[in-house]
Amino acid sequence: MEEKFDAIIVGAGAAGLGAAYRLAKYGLNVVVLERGQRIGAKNVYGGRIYTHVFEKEIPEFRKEAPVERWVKKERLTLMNSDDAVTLELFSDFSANDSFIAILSKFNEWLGKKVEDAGGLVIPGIKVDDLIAENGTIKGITAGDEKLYADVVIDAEGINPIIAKKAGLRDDWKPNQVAVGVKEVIKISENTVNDIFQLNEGEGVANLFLGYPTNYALGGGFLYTNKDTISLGVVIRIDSAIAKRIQVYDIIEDFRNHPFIHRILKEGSPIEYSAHLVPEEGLDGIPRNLVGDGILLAGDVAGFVLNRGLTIRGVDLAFLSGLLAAETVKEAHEAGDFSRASLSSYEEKLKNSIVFSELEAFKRASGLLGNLRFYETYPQILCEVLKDAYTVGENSRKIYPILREKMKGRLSLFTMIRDVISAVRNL
Amino acid sequence: MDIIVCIKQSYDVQQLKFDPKTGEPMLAGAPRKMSDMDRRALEEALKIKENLGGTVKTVTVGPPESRDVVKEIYAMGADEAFVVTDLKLDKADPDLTAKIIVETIKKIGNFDLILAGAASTDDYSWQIPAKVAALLDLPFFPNAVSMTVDGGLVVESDLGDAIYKYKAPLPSVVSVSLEINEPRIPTLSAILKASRKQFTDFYLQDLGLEVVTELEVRKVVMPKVERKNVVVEATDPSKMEDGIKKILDELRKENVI
Ligand SMILES: Cc1cc2nc3c(=O)[nH]c(=O)nc-3n(C[C@H](O)[C@H](O)[C@H](O)COP(=O)(O)OP(=O)(O)OC[C@H]3O[C@@H](n4cnc5c(N)ncnc54)[C@H](O)[C@@H]3O)c2cc1C
Repeated sequence: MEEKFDAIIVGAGAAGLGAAYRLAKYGLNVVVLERGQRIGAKNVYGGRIYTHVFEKEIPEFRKEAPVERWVKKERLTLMNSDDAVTLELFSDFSANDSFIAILSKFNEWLGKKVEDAGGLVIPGIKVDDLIAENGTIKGITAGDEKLYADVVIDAEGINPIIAKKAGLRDDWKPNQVAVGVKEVIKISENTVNDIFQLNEGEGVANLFLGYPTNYALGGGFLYTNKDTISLGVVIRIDSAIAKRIQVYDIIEDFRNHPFIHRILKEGSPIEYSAHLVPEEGLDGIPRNLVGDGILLAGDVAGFVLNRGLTIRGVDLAFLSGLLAAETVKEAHEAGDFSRASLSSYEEKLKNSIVFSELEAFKRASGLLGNLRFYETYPQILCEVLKDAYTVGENSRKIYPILREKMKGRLSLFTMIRDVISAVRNL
Repeated sequence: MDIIVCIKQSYDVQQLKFDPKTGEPMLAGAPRKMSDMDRRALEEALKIKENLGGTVKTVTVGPPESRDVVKEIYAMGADEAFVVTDLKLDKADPDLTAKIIVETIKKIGNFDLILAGAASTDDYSWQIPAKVAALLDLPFFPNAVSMTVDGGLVVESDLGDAIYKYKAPLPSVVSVSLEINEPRIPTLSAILKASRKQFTDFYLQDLGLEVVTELEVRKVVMPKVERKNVVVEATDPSKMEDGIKKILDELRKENVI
């Protein structure tokens, strides 16, 4: 084909669209290819996006972005099969805003922004392979069509088919990824406001430990959209296998837990989805993020922060896309798309919050592998508090109850060590 | 042959979600796409052009987001697209839509044939092509399952009781059914070539028209399907016979066997 692009981007998620937006603003000739039939159709996540990078990059962000609700309350709930203990933070979060959005709508909006900036976004096209000449990537193939560019930005998400072909990364191992299943449940806007005590436009981000994953590694989540609720469970694959958990059944049990059931009893599910998410933090990032004529951005590069309480990938994906674009622009000016020239991308990432945040939580992924946080603590806490709040013949103080519940399950030493490690690392 | 094709951007009905409580479609932000039968009308026009030469122009009338359909129209291979949009056109009735289409066609000028899908994927009124024909005072051939043009236009119309084969004069208006063809899937290079092509954007004042809707749509709801949810427990294999009998009893009670 005659037309050659400055850059081809594989995948219209936050990473690919971030790269395209910046490149289009630089005036480069860029095309995003997305295998889904429409932009956003294949994108799944929990529910919350951090504002900072979007606000900085897109001037119209506050006015235009399809925000469902701004997070006003953060909640953590520990659950056993009958009970739930919830800790709630109520704050205005004005310093570090995050909002609840439907990812497919959000990405669709980002796609429009890319087009407005002059980039092309083409859904319905699956990239099958890379075109390499003397080891340098020169373009892509889709079906029997070829498309050429100076550089390819691979933002294909969690399933690294293209990155593997470029020799940049391997498949994920079961202990490096989690599977998430999610339902969207329709209730009314007023019901959401009433149940969660919210004003118009305010939302709740609620995370759960314990029962929702059947005490396996992972957690549950609930986000309030405008007039729907996103409810889901994320479980690390190795833990799901070890515990023989059927991921699809488990969300059913979660939805029917009394704590959730009373929220959702009026609603009915209108959407189901499932998706993988990287869990490894820094250790999941491949050694090389660039090759000759190619860069990786977003999930395919492992840029997801899992603090246990929050999974954060959309803003990091977008930011890595911006940095990839910046690198491509410099390479364009220098007329050099070799690995050496593109390697400044790795520097840029290391100097950005993508790495500093992942660095800061480096030890978290070891800590998050500690099954006691999912199994033992939620159950003990529910039991202890329930006993403590139950008035009976022989009401007791909390400490003796705690010691009784710990017997045979948890030593005081282990608990203290876990608490210290949690405080240090999260 | 110069052909004008009427193309609506309808809701993508397969992606449409319904409020489980009220049964109403959740239309806000719902995905849209080129209406299925209109896509076949365009395909038919493109095939004729490939055979005989000429031009394929399209007319689209609807709310502002309808402009997005132009990408699909050009990617398939149309020469020129005309779009008339207005926020209020979301609720236009068939009379008004047909009038706008006809005024736009008058602006476009010469043509030999007008094609359209027999009905749109969402509203499914089946009225537009006939109304267009009436307003232009042209012969109308509904629901074509096949058509040929070399040596004069011949249309096979499915009128329900039978398929009627007509020798049709030119110009005429023909509406096409789903069976008439299998529309092409645009190639990547066709999409790229089409991506920056301009189209003509009309507003109602350009046509000297305004939105006056006489039709009031009271409600759109999903038909209620009540499920009986009868569960016959048969976990014990030795009691399987009982279970089967219970199922048969239930089915007899419903008069289905
Ligand atoms: C259950 C779950 C909950 C999460 N919760 C949150 C949260 O609350 N907040 C948060 O910030 N992050 C969350 N994340 C993480 C976040 O969703 C991801 O980190 C982020 O979406 C990654 O963006 P991306 O652009 O890298 O990849 P994606 O969004 O996956 O985009 C990749 C795109 O590439 C396309 N593609 C793939 N291969 C090809 C190909 N060969 N040709 C063409 N196109 C291709 C795909 O169709 C897809 O659209 C969650 C993830 C999961 C699974």
